[in-house]
Amino acid sequence: MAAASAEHPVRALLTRRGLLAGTGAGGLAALLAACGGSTGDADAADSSASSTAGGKRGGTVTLSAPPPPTALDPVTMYDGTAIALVQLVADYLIWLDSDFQLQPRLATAWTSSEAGRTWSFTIRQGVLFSDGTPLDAATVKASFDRLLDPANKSAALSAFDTVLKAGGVSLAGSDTVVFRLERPFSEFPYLVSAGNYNALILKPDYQVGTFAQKAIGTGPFLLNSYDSGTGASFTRNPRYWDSGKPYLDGVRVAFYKDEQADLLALQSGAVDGQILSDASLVGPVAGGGSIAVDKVNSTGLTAFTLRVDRPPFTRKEVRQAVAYALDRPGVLTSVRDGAGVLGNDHLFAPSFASAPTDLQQRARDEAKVRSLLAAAGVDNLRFTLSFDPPNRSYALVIQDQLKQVGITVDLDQQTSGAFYGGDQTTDTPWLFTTANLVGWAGRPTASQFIIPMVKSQGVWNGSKYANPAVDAAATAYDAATDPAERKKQAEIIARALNEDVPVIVSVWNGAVRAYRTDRIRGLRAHPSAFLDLTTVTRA
Amino acid sequence: MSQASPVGQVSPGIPGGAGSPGSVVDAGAPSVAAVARGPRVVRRLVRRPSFVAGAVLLLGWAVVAAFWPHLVPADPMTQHPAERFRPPGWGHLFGTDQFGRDVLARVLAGARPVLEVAPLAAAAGVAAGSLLGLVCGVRRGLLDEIVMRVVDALAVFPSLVGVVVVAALVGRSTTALIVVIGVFFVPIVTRSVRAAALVEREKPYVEAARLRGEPFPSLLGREVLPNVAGTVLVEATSRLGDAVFAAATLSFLGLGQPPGSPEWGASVADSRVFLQHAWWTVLFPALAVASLVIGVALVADNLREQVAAR
Repeated sequence: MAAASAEHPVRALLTRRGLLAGTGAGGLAALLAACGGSTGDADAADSSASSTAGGKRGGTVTLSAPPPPTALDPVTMYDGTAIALVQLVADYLIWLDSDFQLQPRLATAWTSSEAGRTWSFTIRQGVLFSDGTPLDAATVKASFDRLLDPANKSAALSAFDTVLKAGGVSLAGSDTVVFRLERPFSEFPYLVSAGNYNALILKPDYQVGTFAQKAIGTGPFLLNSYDSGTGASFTRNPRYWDSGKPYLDGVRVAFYKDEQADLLALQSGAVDGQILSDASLVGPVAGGGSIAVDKVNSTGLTAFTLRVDRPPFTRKEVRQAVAYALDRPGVLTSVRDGAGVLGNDHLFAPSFASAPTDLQQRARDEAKVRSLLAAAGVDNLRFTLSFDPPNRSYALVIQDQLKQVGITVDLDQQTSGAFYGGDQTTDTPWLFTTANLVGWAGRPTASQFIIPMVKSQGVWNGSKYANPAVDAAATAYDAATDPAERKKQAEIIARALNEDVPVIVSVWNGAVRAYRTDRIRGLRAHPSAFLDLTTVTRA
Repeated sequence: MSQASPVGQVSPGIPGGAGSPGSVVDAGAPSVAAVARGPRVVRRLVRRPSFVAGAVLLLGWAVVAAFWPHLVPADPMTQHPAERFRPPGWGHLFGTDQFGRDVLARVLAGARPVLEVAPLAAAAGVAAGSLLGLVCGVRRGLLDEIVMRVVDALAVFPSLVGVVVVAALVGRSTTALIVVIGVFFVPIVTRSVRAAALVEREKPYVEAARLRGEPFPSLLGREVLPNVAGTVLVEATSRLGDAVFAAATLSFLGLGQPPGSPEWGASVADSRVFLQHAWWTVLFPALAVASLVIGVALVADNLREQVAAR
């Protein structure tokens, strides 16, 4: 999968910026048919294909980002800044665009056989690494073997869990790589795409941890300098395989530790755009002066998890009451500054192709809350909600909204270290408290939420929910290659989750990216905060 | 024979104190002079505009802390998503914050948490520090050596850093905050009071009390304490200002009341990222902290000057 990290679905979410980055981290799956638009007006109609029409070839742009907390390494990175910087230098077999459509990059085609258990990818010919080495299928195989080697501690390992093991990659000629899976997986291309952000193609002799010193890739830019405290600079890769691109001669990235300083730099013109933007910060300044904010939907979410095996949530009526007490549009406004879409207490984002469309959207209903609590025989419902600082605002909103219907929520804010610390099999708060908030980075497929989060014995099943019908449907969903069958299984899963409410999904996150319209054209938000500057120009 | 008091007056003695029945020596009791000076000091203080300004600020916030539920224009906790980031105006004099909560209401309600913690923390620290300082200053000896070496060791530790670290360890509760802040005041107060007590112990009225066999607790409480009361009072007001600042700092760092509390420090911390476009969410709680600290400092400075003038 793509998401946050190898051992942890939420490590990338330990900071507010990390949340945004992490939202990107997983890449998203299916087809985001509906994306938001730019709140700025200057180049709203500017498409990638035509971006040079209004802009200028050449020149350099300056972007801002928080300093990466992890090493600038394609194999082990999991934070938004490192991912974005590496994406300027190295490339994937498949890119995910802002609609989360799969876009061929180093792979030109892919096919499956054995009902989705074997996948073959045709490698693009004529591609050169920045040092002149040609790309071939063996290099691609070496890249995935590296990711599948536990010794390298890649964040991608969790993405391949139960799907692909070491030894599962082979060659079929000089231009074809074959993946033999552990089980049929109809959405496997997402796992070798940018959606699995560590899946970058590197030279066979690449040594993990050396990227910042010797960055060789097939991407559009060359890394000239990198300082983990101040920033990085890039120049155009003259050997880039996509002829004529990138349009820029260079990119400079300046690191700002403080969000306020980052925003000030944008407003003052010290930088032309941001790599990682916070919707609540940049939203209010959008449209003022030359600042524009591009928005897209993502599949990141904050799970409001309820322990189904522990009072007061053993009765589903109580869980439903809490779900009906939430004013979801209010959550979207207060917590996400309007960036995102409403959730309906299941794990199929509207952007997933298989997302059920006929399930009624759950909305605040005070009468229903009262009747459900009465049916459960619960008076004066009170519970403790545990969370870490990135979800503080959401916790406050939940507390206020539930108070309005007579439900008392005691807030238990913990440090991120404490919240995600402890033993994942016995006591870690994010998996064992009665109710909690956990940020989940966006995933390219719904299965990557369902299997760990709500399947019986799921590794990150904080609600302790166990429903054989959901388990069976999840297995059938993964194996199904027919879209109609997938949709049918998705509906079974979604209806069960919506009814049983082990997890409340009130909103699906959105992603934003702020930039100066007088300086830059073509810079777009990405659901996973990924960075593609191949068609960006100066204004 | 009568002895000169610390201010050079001849004390007539007080019943039960020095010169009371059973006294071996009528050493006089400077504490009487101290008591007699009280109204005079007050009269001098109220003529000083800076003291009056400080007292008004301090008392004003105390009144707000006590009666804020009757003073606020809206519930400080209730969120109104549709009214987020409203600038100051007639509907909301101090504007609204990121959750649409009324900033004025939160500033007024935020007085209570800080004034619950700060005075009690200052009182706890001053009480413990004064007791230690008196005991050490009057008795001296091995106990004094041991206590003062411990105090010296604690004093070199940055108190605010220490408060933050310990508060983070013991967790969030009003009682814990009071104890943590108070403990870190003890070394400061102990030193000051001990220094004053050292001066007093050499005076004849103390010697007289000893000679007539006055018990040690009584010697401290009835003889020495009244004569170091000025020092204690100055320490109390100074520490109150420090406690306000410490409480606001802890709250800013997320170590104060539970999330959502209208604490001033927490409000500043939560809103500072919105400073660019919603300055009012930061300015007003910050001004509230500043006004209370300034008020306490003005009172403390004037008291200190009066004590020094003695």
